[in-house]
Amino acid sequence: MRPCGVYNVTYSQDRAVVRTKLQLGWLIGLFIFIFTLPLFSKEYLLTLGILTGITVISLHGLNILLGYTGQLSLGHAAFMAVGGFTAVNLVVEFNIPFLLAIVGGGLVTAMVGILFGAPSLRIKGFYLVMATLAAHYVIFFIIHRWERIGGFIGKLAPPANIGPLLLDTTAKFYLLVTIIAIVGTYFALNVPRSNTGRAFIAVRDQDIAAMILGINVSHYKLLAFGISSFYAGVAGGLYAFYFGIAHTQFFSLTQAVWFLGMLIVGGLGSTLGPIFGAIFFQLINELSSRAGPVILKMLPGIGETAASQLANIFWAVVILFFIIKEPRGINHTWVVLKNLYRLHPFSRKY
Amino acid sequence: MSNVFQTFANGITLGLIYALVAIPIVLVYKASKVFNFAHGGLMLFGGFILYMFMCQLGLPLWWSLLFSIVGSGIVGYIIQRIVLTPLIGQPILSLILATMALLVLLNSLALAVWGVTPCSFPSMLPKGSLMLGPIKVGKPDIIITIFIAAILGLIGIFVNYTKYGLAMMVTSEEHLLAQSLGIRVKTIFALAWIIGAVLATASGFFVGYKLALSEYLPEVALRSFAVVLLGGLESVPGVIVAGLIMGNIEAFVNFYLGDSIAGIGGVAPYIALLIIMIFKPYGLFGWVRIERV
Repeated sequence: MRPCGVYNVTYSQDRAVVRTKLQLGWLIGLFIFIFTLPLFSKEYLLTLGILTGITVISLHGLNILLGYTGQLSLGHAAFMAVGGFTAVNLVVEFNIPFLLAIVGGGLVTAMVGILFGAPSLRIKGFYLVMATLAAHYVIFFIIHRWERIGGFIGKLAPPANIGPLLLDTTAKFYLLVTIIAIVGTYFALNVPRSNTGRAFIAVRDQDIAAMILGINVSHYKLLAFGISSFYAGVAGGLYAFYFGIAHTQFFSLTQAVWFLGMLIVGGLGSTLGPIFGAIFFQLINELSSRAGPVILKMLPGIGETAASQLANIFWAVVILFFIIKEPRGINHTWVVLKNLYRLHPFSRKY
Repeated sequence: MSNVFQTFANGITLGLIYALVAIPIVLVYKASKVFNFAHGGLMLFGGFILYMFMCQLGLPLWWSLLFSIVGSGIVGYIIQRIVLTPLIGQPILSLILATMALLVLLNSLALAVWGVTPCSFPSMLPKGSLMLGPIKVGKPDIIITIFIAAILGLIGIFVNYTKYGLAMMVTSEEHLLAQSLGIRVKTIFALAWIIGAVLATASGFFVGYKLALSEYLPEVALRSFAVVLLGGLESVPGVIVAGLIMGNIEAFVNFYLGDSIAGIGGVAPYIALLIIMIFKPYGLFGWVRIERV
């Protein structure tokens, strides 16, 4: 972080992702921490790391669609389900290598996403939410009725492998998810810095004005749906292989609502937002599973089923709190804190 | 041929229930321009409140009806006061996500307090069925239909002839205009949410009586969104027409395709919704908005 009064003087400085030596140091430190985590941490922590990584991948996709292009979608969980079922079926039925199957799942999901994103050409906002809600149920119906690809009972996934290397331990799978999440983050970081990303932002801010500027709005809306669904498909494939089964239960409508919530809590339209949101979500889940038994002891009249609902209740309250009090999310708070530090003696709270 | 009439009758019963579920959504939308995704949660929560008074505390029917109306009204007011008042003027994403979070919150609260095992109301309506010409109609269905028709009539009278109903209509046209006429817009918002919650309890009771109080009850509300959009977001009579159409679509799809493709009836409203969204997004009776930059 540079102190105030130091400006970019060359284009390459202006474009740089890593701007200072301190930032580079932090980044290298973070990478070392992430990649050496399996050496000294417990299995449980790695499990949380895997879930967070998969969620980050999925949220980056939703962020490109909602945060940059401004298209509301409730179909994200269903798109993840498409990716999961496709990847598992590619491996089981067609003997395609695991990594290729994950990418293939992403591509198929991108096509499905473009298909169900087509109503966005005519409608927006609330009506698009309705169309994607319908898409969620239609996709689930097709998966449930199509017995060959899994149906109601889901489809068992074989253990993942890359060539001769079998990803049989949590640590190995953790490393794979982490690498994919980092690649996904790098791509998501560069989307708003590219021509395409600027077109996305123009469509979000005012689509009619964007059209007048010569931006092909339909093309960019569908492209956003495609990229977003590709992310969702990859995340869904990883999810299915991690749990060893592709099942629609993992990808319920509640999950789709939570994805939107995580994005709001993390911060819309920023690269850090999805990461903050995913980590915060896991923290809340942890909190509810730890605090659940304690709370239930204090309220003896309530049945044991309450424990399973507690995470939902906690997270719904957190989302409502953030929407009302800080709709710009954790990322905004983080930026404010950074600026307070950067401008130190002259900073003021705002 | 009689099968077709039979299916038609089933469709009408189903359609009236859809209309009853959909009407509070329209009322709330008309008054406060908030599409209430949380309606299914309110239905489940209200249904469970009624269940608690009637079956767990053993109060007589009329007292438990009164208490549950008051209770669900309070729930509606609290939601409007705490969650939706601060969100006036916020972008549509905030409103949509807030009501969705409320949906999950209400569902989870209801399931946490009353358990996930489905509860059913004791049967209090006469059993058996009547033959109306070639059509066989269950007696409970007839009584429920009469009740729903009565409720719909009451809503119609309230909206069109009472002071608060008229104030609600003005508010739905334009908030500033309503304020300049001396209408308290916030009171109208609160009133709309209270009515929405009470009607949600009523529909939760009817749906719960026909099926059971379980976590699948909010799915009925999600399906009735298709009814709201077919009728148009702003029209109460439109919703009744759309409810009857949608009920018949579901009944007939079930009748003709239900044997070969199980569960197609449940997904038919969503397919209809997708088609409506592509060809007529403002519904049959809704207002077509002209967008200005």
